[in-house]
Amino acid sequence: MSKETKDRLLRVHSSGLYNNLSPEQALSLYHENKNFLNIATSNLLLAQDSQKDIYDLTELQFYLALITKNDTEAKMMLGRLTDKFGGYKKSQRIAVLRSVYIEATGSQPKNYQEASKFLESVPQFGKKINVIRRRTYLASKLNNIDANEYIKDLTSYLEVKPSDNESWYELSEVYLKLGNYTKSIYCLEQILLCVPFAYNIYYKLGAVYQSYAYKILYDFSDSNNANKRENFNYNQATIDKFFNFFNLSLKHFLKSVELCESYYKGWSGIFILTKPLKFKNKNLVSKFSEKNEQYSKLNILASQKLKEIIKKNWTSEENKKLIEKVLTSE
Amino acid sequence: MSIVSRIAYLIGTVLIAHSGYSSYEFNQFIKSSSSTLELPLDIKLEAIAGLILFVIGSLIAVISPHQYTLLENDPIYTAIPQNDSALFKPIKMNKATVELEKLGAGPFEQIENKAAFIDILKKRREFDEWVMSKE
Repeated sequence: MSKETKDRLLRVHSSGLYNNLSPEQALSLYHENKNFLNIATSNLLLAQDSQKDIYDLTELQFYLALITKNDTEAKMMLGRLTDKFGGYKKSQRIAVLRSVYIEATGSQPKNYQEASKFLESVPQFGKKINVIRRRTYLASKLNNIDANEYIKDLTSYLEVKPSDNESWYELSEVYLKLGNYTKSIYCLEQILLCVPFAYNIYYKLGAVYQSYAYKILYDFSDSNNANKRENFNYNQATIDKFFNFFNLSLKHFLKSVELCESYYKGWSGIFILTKPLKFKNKNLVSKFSEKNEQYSKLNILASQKLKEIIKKNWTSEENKKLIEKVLTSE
Repeated sequence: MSIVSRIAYLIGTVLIAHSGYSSYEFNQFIKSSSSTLELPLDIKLEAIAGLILFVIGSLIAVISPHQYTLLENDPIYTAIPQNDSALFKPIKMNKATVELEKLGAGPFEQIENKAAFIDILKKRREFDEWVMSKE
């Protein structure tokens, strides 16, 4: 048990990484955190030294136990937190944890309803931001509620708390699923107003712009019933629009790697975007070749950087395999 | 602790001790002869040189603690660029974020992970499937 391990576990908690773990990783982290908490809580001196850290890790353990189906332990962790901070009437964070527990362990079809009923029973429900947020999510999972309803709920929540970046991100993903690119972009830009250096958001913006650009081409050929999109005669307005978003996408990818030199996603985006176009349409190709020199330079730079990231061990083994795939893709 | 820092510690300690003994002897001499001489410059210089060596030794001895990547357990040491001290973090943001990315989570990762919107049932289903596939 060392300070390094504690820092590492705390970083997993603060970065919300437990929401993005593979089952295998979740299980190994679960065991590690369990051992750490066992030692730390039995060692009174240490427990007094960093009370806040211990309770953060207890919350992490609650989530990990639920993910790995150790429900009794999750209940125990919830009990510890409740003992310390008071019940759900006092603390909205506890209320949210309890609703997650009800959601996870309740009988299958009704659990969303039960959890959301519980959240509504929290006193002064309308004033508790975190409780409202979780309820918004639960409402989206209930039957007969479509995406539009969810969007309405999320926007009304964001009107109360416009600085909640996670919710903006969620809203942008909902819009993206519906194919509403402009609104999705707007949501991501709202995040950048709060955290102007968030390079992963710049990357995401670039990716959304990229799909938007290709969707314009697709829509045009689709509406004219073309069999081969590559050979289709796009009109000038479509081509201009395409390159507008194409360049915006490139700009945002470049911004992301400007802020983080080893951000492999950003470099991969640049690498794929600046590859020679596959389309055989003359107007499109001629417009592309106007800046051909710049694009090919960027393409070479991106592939160099990706190779450098692999060589210098700047990312995990899993991501390295992804980079290899990008580099060898046609 | 590197060998350089050990040598610096040793020489520094000897110098300080020696200058201390010299000034004691000098004091004894002043008491017995009742003259008004000042402490000689070489004793002062020796003490200062010893202190400087001691400080340098302790600065070299500091090694930045190693950190662990978030998901795989292998320790990776904080990047030490050439001709640069391990104690200082890079100033430019594009260099400073490299280390965090290497450890597994950038500074703005929590926005992307959206832990507040965790889909716990889906996670549990995935876990079930993984356990089944292993058996």
